[in-house]
Amino acid sequence: MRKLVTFTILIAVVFSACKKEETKPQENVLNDGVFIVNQGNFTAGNATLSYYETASGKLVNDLFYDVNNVPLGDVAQSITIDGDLAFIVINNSGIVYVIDRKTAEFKGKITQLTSPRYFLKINDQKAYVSDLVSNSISIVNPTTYENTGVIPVNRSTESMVLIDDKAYVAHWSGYLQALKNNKVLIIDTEQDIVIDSIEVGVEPNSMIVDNDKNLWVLCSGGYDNEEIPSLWKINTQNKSVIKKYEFDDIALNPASLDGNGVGDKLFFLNNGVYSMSVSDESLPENPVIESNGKFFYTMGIDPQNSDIYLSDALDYTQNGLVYRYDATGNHSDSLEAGIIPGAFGFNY
Amino acid sequence: MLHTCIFLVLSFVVFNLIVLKYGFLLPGIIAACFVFVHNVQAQMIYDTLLLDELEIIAIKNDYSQTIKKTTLDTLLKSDLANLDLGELLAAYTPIFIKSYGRGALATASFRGTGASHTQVLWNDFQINSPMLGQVDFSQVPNSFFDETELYYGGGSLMKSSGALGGSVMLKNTSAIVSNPHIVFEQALGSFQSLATNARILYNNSKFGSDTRFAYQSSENNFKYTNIAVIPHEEMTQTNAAFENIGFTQQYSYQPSAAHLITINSWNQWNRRDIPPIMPNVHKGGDPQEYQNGFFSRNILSWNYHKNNHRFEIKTAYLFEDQNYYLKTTTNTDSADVVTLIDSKNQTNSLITKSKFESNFRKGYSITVGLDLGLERVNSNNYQGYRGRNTIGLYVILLKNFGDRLKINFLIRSEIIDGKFLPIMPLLGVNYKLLKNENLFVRGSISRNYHLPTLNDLYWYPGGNESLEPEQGFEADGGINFVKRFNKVVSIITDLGVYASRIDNWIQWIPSDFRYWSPQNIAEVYARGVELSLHMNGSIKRFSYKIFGEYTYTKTTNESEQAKENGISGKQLIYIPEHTANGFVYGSFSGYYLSWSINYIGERKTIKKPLPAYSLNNISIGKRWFRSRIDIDLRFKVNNLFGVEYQAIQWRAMPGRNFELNIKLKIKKVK
Repeated sequence: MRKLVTFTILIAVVFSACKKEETKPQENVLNDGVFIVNQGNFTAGNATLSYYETASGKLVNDLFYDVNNVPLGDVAQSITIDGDLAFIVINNSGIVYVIDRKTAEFKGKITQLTSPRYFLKINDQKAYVSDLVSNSISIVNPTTYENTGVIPVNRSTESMVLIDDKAYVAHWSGYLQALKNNKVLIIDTEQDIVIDSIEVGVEPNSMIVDNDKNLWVLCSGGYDNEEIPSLWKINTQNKSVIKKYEFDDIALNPASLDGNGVGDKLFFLNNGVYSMSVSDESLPENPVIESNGKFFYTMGIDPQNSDIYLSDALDYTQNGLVYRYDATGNHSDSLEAGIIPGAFGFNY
Repeated sequence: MLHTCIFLVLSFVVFNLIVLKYGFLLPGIIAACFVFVHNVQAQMIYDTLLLDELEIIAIKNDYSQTIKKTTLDTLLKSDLANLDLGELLAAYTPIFIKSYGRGALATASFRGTGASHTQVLWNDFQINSPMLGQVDFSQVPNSFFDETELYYGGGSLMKSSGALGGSVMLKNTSAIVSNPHIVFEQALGSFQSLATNARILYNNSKFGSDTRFAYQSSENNFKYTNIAVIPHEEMTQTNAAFENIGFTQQYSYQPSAAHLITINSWNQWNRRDIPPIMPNVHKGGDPQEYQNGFFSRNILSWNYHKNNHRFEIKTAYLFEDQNYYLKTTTNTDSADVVTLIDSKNQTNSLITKSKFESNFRKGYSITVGLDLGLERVNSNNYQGYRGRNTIGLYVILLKNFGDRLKINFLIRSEIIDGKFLPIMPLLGVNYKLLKNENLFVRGSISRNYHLPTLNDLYWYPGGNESLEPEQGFEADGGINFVKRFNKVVSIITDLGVYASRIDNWIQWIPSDFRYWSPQNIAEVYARGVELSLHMNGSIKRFSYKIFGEYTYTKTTNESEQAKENGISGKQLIYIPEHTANGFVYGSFSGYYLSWSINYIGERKTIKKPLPAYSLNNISIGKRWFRSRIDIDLRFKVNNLFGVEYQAIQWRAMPGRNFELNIKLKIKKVK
């Protein structure tokens, strides 16, 4: 009897040892792919990070938690990849997590932010973080992760673009704002001061820079459909508007302006996905991808091959979906990501 | 005469303190006058009974009920007298209390339903917020009520419509019935917690006055391990203080055996800070989030009783004022305050209930009632004043066939803003299985409707005025056995099962616009098992009580949409499948010890499930009984094993904490 017991224990030990061997976390290196930032629900703290390897089609959910043993936080807003690092802005946690872009390992955190939205690296010693409510842009050090100052702007700030030594910052939100939300601020990144602004449409929600260093600004027309939505092409050298494209219905809500890698083609969401050349004189009439009853929440364009990634938040209280299409609109994959997939970070 | 003076002075002092602090002038003066007038002529009947009221474990329940109804044990209640109703229900009933933290919002899930499906009735009047439809159980002090009854599922139709999960009835007995006394209770606890309860009960054969006061405050700055930050860190909870202060006043007047006139008033001020969730502790801008509120609930009732007939008419005026703030400061040099939310809500309700009860023939009983209600809300979240008018009619019939069979039929009809709801019937039966043993089986089926809340209808933006009421069908069954074997052992056991289906369940979902809007979307199927065992007895000077309870709850959404989304058949979030409570109490010569265990099984969230946990609380104490005064001194350890747990994801909960409690009861001697 005793032998049997000993034997059983031995077997159990051997098996449990084997099992441990199997589940031991390996040095997981992330191959080329895309980070999917899942916002999660406000005040629920259920934001997550997913990773999709483009070549193999392998998807990992809850990557940040699995690697670092803490939740990503409360409402993850954006991701910015720079060098070996990725900066993930967690809006309602007031934090920017810095991770190794090849392993997702925690490298540092920038804290004490009020309502951070986007991260823009200026140089090795300086980065800007836009903010929904604090009336200023935070200046942080992307190497030491310290807060180094603020740029008072007297308004809410959202997406940011760097062209040469100027940062272009959109005033998107109209909530609790004294000033009208129809400006792009120009900031001198040497002195960290606002030097000028450009008037665009109401609620500029996304911006990109093209291969001619022109700034493109997509405006939804406002939360209450205050005006016709518009797309703006701006010459950043002389700050003049080259062209204003108007959409044909005030109730439309175009968003998620993005460009291809070389910067000669634009993509945006307007129920379906639309694409146009930077030299086009008018807005495209037909979508590349039809919405077919779906509500696409956000979009990201792979800078290498212009693959289109679309998110569908479904009912916002369950895991959302991500659809992958090629540049011509052929569907190639569907993924179940986290709650409200809201931003994409291409990791090459 | 000396006692009369003491009563007079104390009543006056208490009321004037309240008057001074809160300017609640009129009721104070009236109260003082009443006390004065009646004291002058009072003929005191002093109580010589030295019975320890806490030791009386009365079996008040009628076990031959056609529906499931239980009354909370007074012993359990007294053990938690200085706590709130949420803590009481969580520890000793199958109701799952979803608590956002110590002193924070606590809502109920009864039989697998949502927070607005549990009604709380105070002396028959619903105190759920007309806006949210729910009750914050952390703001209901246990010491304000004499009895707490639970009506499970469809059985709640006996008292009101709309409680798809069930209802909690808080009752005040007439101040004429009890023996006059003064109670003062003071508790000191960890995290700078204070709780004071006081009560002055005075009466003569015709008039009674019962004044109760409760104060509760805490800095609530407990330590916990924050496992949502890198690295995991021992932290002190911040911005979590709370303070509640309130009083109730009852006047009862019984001019003759047939008439009873009662005034009940419950007034309370609440304030609490709302702490950040664990991942948000590093947020800048010094965020401040808090909630202030005041409510006044008042009932005037007249009860006429003659032979086998009873008539009752009551009117209630309920007022509630609530403010919620969320603000932050800019990180510019001027550090300007940005008020993100300043939500102000006022609700007024005027409700009249009348009913006639008659045992018109042997074995028959009939109740006919008419309820009229007006609700008005003034909120900066609505566009203008909003409200609702309700008319409710009901008939309840009960027929006994011999000694063993009982059949109960009930029908309710309601007119909401001029529109008829379909009728709500309940049919129940109880049968005594064995002639000489108290072994009963019961069963009932019912249909019930829960109206959309005013927020569901009128919230701006998103409110949906075309919402249909939620419709519940329930089948309920059970078996119970009650036996007193001898002085040493008495048992009460109950096994209950139920299955309910709620159609048109309201959920807020994203609309085509950028805001959320409620829709009659879910079809929820809830079923479960409730098993309980009570045992008590005494051997010479030792007496004991043992109580155990297990609840299984399965709640799933079976709508077409849920099927499409692949979530049908899965447990709804934050509703545990398994919960269990246990309680052991023993006393010997005034010394006593009680130990309670509360087990909450795993709960689903949208992402990872929250792990199960067990909390153990232990009290030791001593009671002294003297002719004029009883003293009860108690030491309590909450969360004895310092379990780290989350009831709601990323909401910090306190570890082991302590409480010292002293209670003085001054009685009148004959």
